[in-house]
Amino acid sequence: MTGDQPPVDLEVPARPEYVRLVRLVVGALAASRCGLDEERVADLRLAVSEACTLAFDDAADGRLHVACTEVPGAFVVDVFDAPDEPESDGDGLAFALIRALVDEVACVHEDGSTRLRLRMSCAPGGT
Amino acid sequence: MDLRLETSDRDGTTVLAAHGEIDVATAPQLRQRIVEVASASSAPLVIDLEGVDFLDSTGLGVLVSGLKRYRTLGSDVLLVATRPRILKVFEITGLTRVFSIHPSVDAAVAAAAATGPRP
Repeated sequence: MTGDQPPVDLEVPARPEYVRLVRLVVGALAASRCGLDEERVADLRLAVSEACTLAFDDAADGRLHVACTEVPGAFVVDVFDAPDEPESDGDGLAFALIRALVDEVACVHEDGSTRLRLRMSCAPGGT
Repeated sequence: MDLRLETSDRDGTTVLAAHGEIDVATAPQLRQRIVEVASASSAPLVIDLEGVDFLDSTGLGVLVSGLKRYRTLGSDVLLVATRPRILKVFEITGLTRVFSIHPSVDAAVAAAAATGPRP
């Protein structure tokens, strides 16, 4: 990983049919920039999907905002407006999956927004 | 990517084969189909997930509510799944203990015949 790639911001309508687009883009970025193997990319895709689904209820202005950033040794995905704890039984399943699938998950309050931050460590030798 | 659903009858058991991705966008289709099938017959339902490439918590929620619906009818929902990606989702959420998961439609239909009510 070079670590000098610019961040990628995605903003799509906060509607179910756009979640697939987000997970495909995030998965492709993680694979190409971070060298994650197929299984870890699939884990990240599912975790991102879950976070996006959680964010629907609170998405500002009906838009879903996802930011992908490389930091040294890791690929980080911020999903804006996701709740920081389960608000229903379904949310409980979503959080269980996110916590199990990514290396680190944190709720970040920054610049007046709430983000669920998913972090995947990059494979050694990744580009 | 669409979700394609096909229903068939196998020896008195309904088999619902899903192909494609089950996520927040497509899970409502699955929910609707399960409700329709349950309304038509209380025969056990086998849901074949071998053609499913992606399953999220929304899809799991639909499967769980389908299972509850069938158990209320005195019947059952059985799953067919062998793909590691799909099994992983059940394992993480502890739902392997809730569902009867089989390696093939034949095995699921045989298990359904042994336990479920006849139509």
